[in-house]
Amino acid sequence: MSPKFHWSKTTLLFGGLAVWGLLLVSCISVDRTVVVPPHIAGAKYVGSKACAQCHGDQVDHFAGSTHSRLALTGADPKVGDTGCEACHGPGSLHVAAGGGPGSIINPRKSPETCFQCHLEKRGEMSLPHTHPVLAGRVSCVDCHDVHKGNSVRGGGAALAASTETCIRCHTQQAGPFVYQHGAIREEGCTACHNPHGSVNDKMLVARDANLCLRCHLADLAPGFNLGGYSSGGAHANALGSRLSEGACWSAGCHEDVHGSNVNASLRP
Amino acid sequence: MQTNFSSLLRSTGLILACAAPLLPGSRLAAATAPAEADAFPTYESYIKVSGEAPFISGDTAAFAARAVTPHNGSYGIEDLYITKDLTKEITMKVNGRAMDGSEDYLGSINISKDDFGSVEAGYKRYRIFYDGVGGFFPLANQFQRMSNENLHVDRSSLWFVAKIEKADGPSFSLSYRNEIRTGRKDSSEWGAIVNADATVTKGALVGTALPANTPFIAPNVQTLDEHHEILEGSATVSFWKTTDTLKATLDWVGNDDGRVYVKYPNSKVIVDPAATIIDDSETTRTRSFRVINQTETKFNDVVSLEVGLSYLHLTGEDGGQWITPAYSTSAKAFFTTVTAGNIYANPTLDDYVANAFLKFTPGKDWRADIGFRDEFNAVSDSGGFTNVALSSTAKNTSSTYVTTNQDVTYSHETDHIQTPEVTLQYLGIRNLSIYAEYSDRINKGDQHWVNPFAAVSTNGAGVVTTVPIPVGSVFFQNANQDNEDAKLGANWNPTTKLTLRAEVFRKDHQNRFIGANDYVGTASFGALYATGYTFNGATLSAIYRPLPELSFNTRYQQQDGKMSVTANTVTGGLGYESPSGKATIRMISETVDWAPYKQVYVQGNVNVVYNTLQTSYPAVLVKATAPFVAVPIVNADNNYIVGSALCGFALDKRTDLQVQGLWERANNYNPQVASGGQPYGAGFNFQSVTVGLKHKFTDRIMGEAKVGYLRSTSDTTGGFTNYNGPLAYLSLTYAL
Repeated sequence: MSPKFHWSKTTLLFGGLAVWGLLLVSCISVDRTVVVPPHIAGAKYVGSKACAQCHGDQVDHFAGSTHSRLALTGADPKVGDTGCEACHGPGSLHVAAGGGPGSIINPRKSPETCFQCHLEKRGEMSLPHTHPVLAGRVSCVDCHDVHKGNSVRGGGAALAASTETCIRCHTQQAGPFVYQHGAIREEGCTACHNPHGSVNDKMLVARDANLCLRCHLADLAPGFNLGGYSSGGAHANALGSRLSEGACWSAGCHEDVHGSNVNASLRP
Repeated sequence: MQTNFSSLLRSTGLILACAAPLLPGSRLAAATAPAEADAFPTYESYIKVSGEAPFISGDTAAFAARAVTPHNGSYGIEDLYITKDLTKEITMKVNGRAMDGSEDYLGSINISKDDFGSVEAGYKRYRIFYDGVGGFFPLANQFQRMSNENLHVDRSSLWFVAKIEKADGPSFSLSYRNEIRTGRKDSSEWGAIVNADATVTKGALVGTALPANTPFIAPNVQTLDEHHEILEGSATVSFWKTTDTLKATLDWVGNDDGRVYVKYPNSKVIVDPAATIIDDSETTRTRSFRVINQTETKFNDVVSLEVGLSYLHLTGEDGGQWITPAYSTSAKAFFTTVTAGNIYANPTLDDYVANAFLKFTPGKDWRADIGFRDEFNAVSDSGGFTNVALSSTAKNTSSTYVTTNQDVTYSHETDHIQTPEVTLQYLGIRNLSIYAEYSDRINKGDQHWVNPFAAVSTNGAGVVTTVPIPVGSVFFQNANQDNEDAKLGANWNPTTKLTLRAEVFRKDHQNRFIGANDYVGTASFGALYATGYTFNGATLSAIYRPLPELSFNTRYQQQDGKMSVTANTVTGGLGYESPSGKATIRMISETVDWAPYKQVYVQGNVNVVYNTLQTSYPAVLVKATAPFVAVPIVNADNNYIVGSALCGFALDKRTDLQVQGLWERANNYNPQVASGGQPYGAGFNFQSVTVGLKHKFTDRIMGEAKVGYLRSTSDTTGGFTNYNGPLAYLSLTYAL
């Protein structure tokens, strides 16, 4: 029979003592900054001008980017509050090495630098349904162009449409559809999906009929009827209503929820 | 005596433990050190090999889906990077990865010559795993797993890029990319699948004899075979104060997707076909050509102009069939009923876009961007399908299909979208940046649908999908959209220790559809249908560094949205605006970084999210016969908490220790909904803890070892996808 472990004051005391002992030994004997991303141990800030020598395209267009709005006049670039090193970390070792992957923070390799400001994205990307960013299969910059224009590609007065980021990979949803879901025309994919992560399957912002009923109102004021959702309509079947049963877009009903070329009701 | 010694030891320990963080010596020694003699090296070229071994108990498929790695582990080359100067001007870079098990592969080579250009070729592939959950029925405690299904989807990409880039001349690039997505993933379908003999039906209705062929959600497997090729060439020239880039793209998509029906628990055999039912199939072929020209002219340091033009022509071919499984009470078996066979469509798209941005600094402290985008696109299509039904007399023994009629559609729609955008930034106050952004997307759309397989209700309420309309019916609709987005924000550093950021936004989107139909055999009616929403929100951030080694980063986000629908009255004219939905989001995130010594780093993160969506649909009936049972459509709650902690510690001159923990909780599971159907809301717990060591063996060799334990429980699947267990990871990095 194995002895059962119990936390006690003595355990905590000597455990704590051991930890502090290790700390003391480490601090006295080790001359090194612990390697914790997204920091570059031993590097100093050098300012954005040094970056422009090799990364001219990124530096040239940064002034018009969304992130540049946070740039401050009068801020000391050496403290890294603004400019390239705010995200890429202090660049002295990178400059000294003439480039290379180990001496600078590359957000393509790790999202940690993005999480420093976008705190909530760390949590969203930890959820069960997300793009595999933390697993290293895709990165933030696969979808976001942080050096130029709007960080969220497309939309507004940009040449690209707001959906172009998503349909590069999700071609089946690209269309074109003569019967296109109005939500995509108006808001793009993010009307229904949170690409950073969700507690719901398919990264949906809601996983039941509420998702659709936001816009496709079931019942209006007395005397009004939109599409037969109320009693007697197609969506009020023998068991009351199919709306309660989860998902309007399930296969068999509005299966082609992104759009169709043969059916205005987004069926096949 | 022993007691006294123990007391002395405790007292000494307590004093030392409390005093340790206050001792200035070590910090001073570290702070004044001129260089980090013991720093881990960074390698210019290296190879990292690793292996991962999970020992998971429970649902291993759920683990694989969550961890993006198989339950039986993976090993191989995790990272390979080689950079080599082949000559004084030519550099070669190689990137690689080959992880067997997780099927994660990368191989690329880039050769560049200074002031001339580069060539690059590469291949990348990775795998996404799926848990194969087919449904859980809480009141009967039944769980449907897609058994024997190794569900995963592989994404791969093969590319080739050649560039000529000279500092004082034009630059050219040519690229080819071939992307493939293949595999099988879990999905669901709606079908007439309830088995009157099954004890598992709809939760509260367990044991109740249901009408045959009552629709419900059933599990199915989605099969994907998608191919995408892109050939792109571009040229950039600079003249006067202008840089011009011309890009031409050829794009091919060839997708063959389908669905396979999966039986419900306790359901009888599938008679026709014998084992499985191949459900829907969907094929898509598109070919497109796009040409883009973008110019950027910097007139001086104050004014620049960007102009873009784009034209896209696309043709496509769609095909497939739409099948609904049916249950026969007499045969006590499932059959396929083809609802729509021989689906075909031939869409074409022409899309013209022009945009311009004038960027200028009206004063030394001002920056302004004024942009305008104009898009015109036209989609046309001729398509249709054959209505096919299963003969009712044939359900007992075999499937005899009866073709009822053929439906054809000829439709087209156009959109004319104009979007003005203005951005202003003011930097006149030291350490303060104020910015504002406004855009308005205005669309004048025109939709002309012939035989859209949907009627327009005679009381003028919009599109109704109850019955196919007669051949020859035409539906016209003007789709007018006015979508305004506005933002106002600021970034302020009041002191070197404090950064404050705030941004408020408003979205006001209105969509109005005014339609009329020429419904064969009846009169024409006008219809108006308007949807819209407004969202107001704010993001507040504060970064506070009371000490150089301590920072608190707080972010709060709030969104409140209201959706509404307006229809015309029975007698015409604008009707009531009715609220249809209400969304509320509150999200607070906190990160604390503390580095009491440079040898120690501690980070804590927490996200608390309250996210709910409420719609106005009051209640639905889940039992049609007396006594009627009504169940409300409850709010869609999407609340969760995520917390994580990380501690790094330089153990000795050659070793780092890292401890990491993650905790997640969502508590939205609501079995009350089970009486109406599924899903029931996300409810889960996840915890993991990892302890890792990173060790420098020599200046050229570093190793990393981690052990961890994780535990996952899911309320939504009744605990049937729970898993837990330890896992181990080992890697070795060698400088090349």
